[in-house]
Amino acid sequence: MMYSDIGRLNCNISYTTFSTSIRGQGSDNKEFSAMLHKALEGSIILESFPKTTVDVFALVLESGGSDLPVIISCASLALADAGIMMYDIVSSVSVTCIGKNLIIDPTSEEEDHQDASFLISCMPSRNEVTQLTLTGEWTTAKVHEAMELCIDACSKLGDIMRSCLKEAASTLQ
Amino acid sequence: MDPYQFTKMVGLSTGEKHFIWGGIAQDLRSDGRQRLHYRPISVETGVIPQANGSARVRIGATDVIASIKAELGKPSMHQPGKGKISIFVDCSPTAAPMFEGRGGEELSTELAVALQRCLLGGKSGAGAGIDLSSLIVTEGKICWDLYIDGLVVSSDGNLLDALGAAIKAALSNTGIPKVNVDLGPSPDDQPEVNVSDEEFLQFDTSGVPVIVTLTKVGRHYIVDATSDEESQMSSAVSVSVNRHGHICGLTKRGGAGLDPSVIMDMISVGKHVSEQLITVLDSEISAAEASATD
Repeated sequence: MMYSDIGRLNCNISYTTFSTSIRGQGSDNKEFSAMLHKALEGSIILESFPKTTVDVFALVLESGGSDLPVIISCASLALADAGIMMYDIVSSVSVTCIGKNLIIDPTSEEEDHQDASFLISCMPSRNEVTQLTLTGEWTTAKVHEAMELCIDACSKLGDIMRSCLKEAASTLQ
Repeated sequence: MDPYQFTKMVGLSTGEKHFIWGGIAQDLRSDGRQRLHYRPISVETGVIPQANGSARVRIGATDVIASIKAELGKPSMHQPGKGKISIFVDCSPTAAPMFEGRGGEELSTELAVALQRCLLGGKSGAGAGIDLSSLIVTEGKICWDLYIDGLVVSSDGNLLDALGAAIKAALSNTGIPKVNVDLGPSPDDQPEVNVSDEEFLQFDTSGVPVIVTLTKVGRHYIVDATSDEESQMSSAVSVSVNRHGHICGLTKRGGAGLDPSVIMDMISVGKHVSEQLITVLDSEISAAEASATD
């Protein structure tokens, strides 16, 4: 592999064959892996480990909707647990729009009937969005509403993740 | 690894980098454009006779071809009243030597995913640029499968916008053959299909959105970045906007984080730029159609 003076991040997501209601129908992993990579790369201080690759492997045991946000948040926690230098933890939330209603953290059934979707991953303490995707038809006002809803949820999720890390650290001592 | 880095294997000296940064900060870019100005766009339709519709779009030195093929298929079980659309992108080795072999694969998938997100709407089909129910021939039995293939012939930045424009032009050039279906007496019979090679149905492409990519260099953002400019980006947001000014898809790339308010600002700027782009594209497409029929 080519020499690199910053660290590399390698992400891979796989689904177990029994994770979905129809056997072996895990989502397009390649796309998900690329999304996970993009969501995380901005949060890691890659300069702190030159000539090194960090591998992130995610295995979805049971898929029940909102898979990607859960994977992103989980991977970020795992990176923190591994002691990788990061600017901030990444928390991620998705919203589904059915009719006029915004539904946060949709289940699989809700995702199947979605008219539009919105996924955001952000670093809550820095108030920075690392990844954002949107499908379906949105008005600017609706995007604004979804964005506020998600940012708020991300910061709440971030707090939970932080306290979880603290707890893990204190039990180690 | 950011797949876009293949397209930005441009060795820039420190001086050139400063020149690009300084130019963008002063709203006068290296090629004389302002931050929110596109390069001249040229559209050619009907370039591939074998396809149902095709178009070639050139934005500066970026050159892409989109071809559309329609094949008869079976609707999926979950959505018996809808046709299917698949989008693929291929990066030709003529565009960059790195695309040889599997080199362009990562970029191709990323572009294809972004295009799907921007053009095909939500899972239920709401907000899609192309009405999937117009592709149905016999409900639950026969539908049209639309294969959209994008080919990057030459790359000088802003591939996603160019591909989006090429697909829009190709769709307006697409004729779907008229089909006569003879359903058998019992519902289990294989229906007899008669594809006309004289009568074609035109697509309604008024709902197809355009894609505007805003590339952030330093504190400012620019549209239609060349590959030199793309090599200096910290992040980029691609917004697809339809005629009604509604946002139909959005993707962000590049590692650096963005403040939520900056994103909202970029969306509104993208919306504003898209109005001009739609006008330019529409007139280019109708001019290309007119010259093709001559």
